[in-house]
Amino acid sequence: MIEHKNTGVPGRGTEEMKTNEVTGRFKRGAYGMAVEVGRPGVAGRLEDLEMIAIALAKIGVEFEPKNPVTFLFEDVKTGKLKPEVRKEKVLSAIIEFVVKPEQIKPVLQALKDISPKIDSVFSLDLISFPEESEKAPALKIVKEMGFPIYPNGKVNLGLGKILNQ
Amino acid sequence: MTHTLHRTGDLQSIKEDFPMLTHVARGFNDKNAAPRLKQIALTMTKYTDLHFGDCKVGNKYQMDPAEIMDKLSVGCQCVFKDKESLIACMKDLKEKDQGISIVVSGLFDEVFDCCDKAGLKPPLIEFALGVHGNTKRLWPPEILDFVTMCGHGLVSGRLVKKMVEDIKKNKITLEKAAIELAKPCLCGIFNPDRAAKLLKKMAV
Repeated sequence: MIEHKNTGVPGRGTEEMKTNEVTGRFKRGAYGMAVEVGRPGVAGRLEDLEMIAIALAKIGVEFEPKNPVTFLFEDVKTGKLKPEVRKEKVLSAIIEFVVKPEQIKPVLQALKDISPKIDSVFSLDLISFPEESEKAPALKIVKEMGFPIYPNGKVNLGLGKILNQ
Repeated sequence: MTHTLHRTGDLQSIKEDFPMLTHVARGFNDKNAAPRLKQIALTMTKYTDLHFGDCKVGNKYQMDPAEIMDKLSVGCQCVFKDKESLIACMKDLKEKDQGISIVVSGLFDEVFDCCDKAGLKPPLIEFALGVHGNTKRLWPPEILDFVTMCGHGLVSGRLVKKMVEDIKKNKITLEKAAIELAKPCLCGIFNPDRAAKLLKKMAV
């Protein structure tokens, strides 16, 4: 697998929550979200991703600047892709973004609305601090909106440190 | 890069499945990280031999793990099947204190219990909120349980079906078929022990 020249990460995404205890990428009072088009095991065209990105851009979410997909946008504010990549097929591609608490419901509604228009599938992720005061408000909305919450997920152990001189 | 998220399966099966990864933070602890990553890899593989690898280099079913460890620059992965080994590894990693981030996936209750026993306080978590869109195109659940063990989508549902057929025809054992499925997962997070149990349900 090749390391992306702009992200420095091999694969489809970024360091996201994996190194957050060091980078501080995600702050308290906000949430990370990701839409993974084509996953699991279906693959998809980037035009599917574009439809979702346009819907999210209208809500005003902040796309992750270091994600490989962000470099494919013609206009990062609108979510429109460069025309030459729209028909490209990918095993999966991730739209990563940060949401304010008040944006969670509109984001989930937008994803619900666009879901029947997508030719492929997409997996949905939510990143939060683990304390009840942080995660509970977001999970309450997720449940109210009828989205499942898997009992298994990712846990950062907090062992990273700043070491570069 | 959320490749250890979204694993599907029944609770008992997921209970025996804990992928672990380490990853440098660019600009913060990536300089001269190779010896630290190697030390972490040696610690990981002291407690589990199910799978190990790095998507930039390869996995233990493709090349010598020692060679992989010598080439690490960004991170590596492994997978555990039980809490005891995971807790022991977490304690050791905490003690060795290499300063590179570690992430464990699995049932939240189980992983948090392991963290508690290892004296770790997780600062961030990630939830999987399901699969949406044209879900008619998904593999059936019993195949999806294998496919989702490689978040990069490198383990094909067709290969799973072939392995099931080959087991039924006595062309391959459960254990060897599980290893064949683990090979394409470059990162080393596909769990061959769990795969063998799932294959047994489908083929025997």
